[in-house]
Amino acid sequence: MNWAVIRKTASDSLLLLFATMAGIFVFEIVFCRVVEQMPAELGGGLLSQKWVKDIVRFLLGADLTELFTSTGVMTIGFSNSIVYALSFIFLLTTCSRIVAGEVDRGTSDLLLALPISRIAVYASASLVWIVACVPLSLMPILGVYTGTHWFQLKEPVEYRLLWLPTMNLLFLFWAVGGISMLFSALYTRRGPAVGVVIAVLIFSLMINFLAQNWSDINKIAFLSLLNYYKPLPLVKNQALRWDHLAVLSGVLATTWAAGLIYFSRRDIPAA
Amino acid sequence: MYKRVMDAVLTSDLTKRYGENEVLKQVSLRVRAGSLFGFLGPNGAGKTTTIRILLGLLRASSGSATVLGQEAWSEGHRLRARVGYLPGDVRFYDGMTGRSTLAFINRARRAGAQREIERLASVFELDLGKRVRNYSRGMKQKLGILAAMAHRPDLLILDEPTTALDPLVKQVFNDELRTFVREGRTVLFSSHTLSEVEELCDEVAILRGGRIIEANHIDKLRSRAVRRVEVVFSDHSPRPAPPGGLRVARDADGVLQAAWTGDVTELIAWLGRCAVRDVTIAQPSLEDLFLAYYADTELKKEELAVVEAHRMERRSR
Repeated sequence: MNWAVIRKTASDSLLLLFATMAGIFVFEIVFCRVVEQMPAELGGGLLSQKWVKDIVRFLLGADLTELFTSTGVMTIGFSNSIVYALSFIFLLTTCSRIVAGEVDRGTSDLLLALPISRIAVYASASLVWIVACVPLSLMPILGVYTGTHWFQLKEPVEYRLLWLPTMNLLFLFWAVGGISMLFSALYTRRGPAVGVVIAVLIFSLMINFLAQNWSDINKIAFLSLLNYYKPLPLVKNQALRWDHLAVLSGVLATTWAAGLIYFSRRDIPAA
Repeated sequence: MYKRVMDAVLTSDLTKRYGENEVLKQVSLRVRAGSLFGFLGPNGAGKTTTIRILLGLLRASSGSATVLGQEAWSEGHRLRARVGYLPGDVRFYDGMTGRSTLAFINRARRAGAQREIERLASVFELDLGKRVRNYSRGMKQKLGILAAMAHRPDLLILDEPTTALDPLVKQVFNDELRTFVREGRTVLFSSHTLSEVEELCDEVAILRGGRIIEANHIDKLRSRAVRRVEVVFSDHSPRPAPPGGLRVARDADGVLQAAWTGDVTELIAWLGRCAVRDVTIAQPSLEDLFLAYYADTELKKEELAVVEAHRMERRSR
């Protein structure tokens, strides 16, 4: 690892990290306010609609009516398009910066002509986003914690149970980061590198959504990254899914290592 | 360790292929330690590809490349501590200032070159407080020079370094390079501007179409190249037939303008048999040298002679 590269990557990522964290944090507070104001009958009524049920099941990985408590409802704050969009934008931006981004803007010559091995460059840049994922994944629970103190819900939230999806979310972020690093190492242009990862994520979302009502699709649901992040069942069963964490860890390790191997052997074209 | 290395750069049969396209063809290059070595070639000849292999940015398809006694690919990160590199199209992080850019490079190199950075910034009159995005092209080039030279590397690799530099700065830059070489360091100077290589370098290699077509001392290369000959005859009496190496561009009013290739002994012998009032045999510039080596292979010799004759005519006007 090289301290100068770590420091530079961190300073390049800091502003976006804070903005992303703030965005998720504010969203969770707003979400608590919405839940506080929503009459219980309206929530129950909405959940009786099939299409609402499907969407909630797609987001949370289980039927919310099975755990229609404040804690169960709060898992929506851990798995929704705002949290995904903000955090994935951060990950894609940060992870595509050091290889594809550097080559794309022509600064790779400056960086890779330094006496730093490519392994050290890759590892130094990775350390930044791997560490950054920790505060990022804490934002939903911190937001819910703050929000539920400001806005009184009908019943108390069991925060200890919300640590379970928090942990799972961290592993999901790491897996997405690993995939982003792989495609960043494969490409010389940032656009395609980011585009492929977005396609992978959309594929995951689509599979997850379609699998709710389509048994054939359900057979290939294991291919979806989001299949291994289901917050509601974690809270309901009050236990981590170690198999899911193992899969996400495997995705991280495999893609990160493949990216490292490719990057350390590839040609770096001139600007 | 550096003192013991005889060759700063040594490549053997270096080849680089992209699929079917062979961009470097068995390039064998030797850059003596402590020399200012010119690396000449037109755009697309393979100069940058060779340099990128030397820096470990590209992997050779076959052949070997050794820099300062270390293998360029496998030991790249170690040897880069002793190498400075200025890319042809130098780019920086736009949001950083010149000073923070150099500080980053200095930290990454663990070079402790702060005093040298300040000295070079003063010599090149570069404002390090500005953000790079506000730099002109010339300022970015100066920043690139500082980044490459500040840690006083044993080998300085410069890819088209004087692009965007004004003549005064070029002079300062050339002085710095000469100092570098006087200190026993090596400079590999890639260019397609022949005059600057002629001014600076003592050895040169010419690359064309991915192949080294010549590598030698500049003086020796000059001796092989076309010379410009102008003879003023003292009368209009018939002259013996000129030797085969003389390509006549103009022969009128007792003045002959021609190009001569090869050993001048034969030419002088012929001139001795003629009634000559004045004669000029000009040393070839590297422009002439370049033309001699770079004439398109599709051109026949006669056509080449016509091209050369036209060029000389233009010069004589």
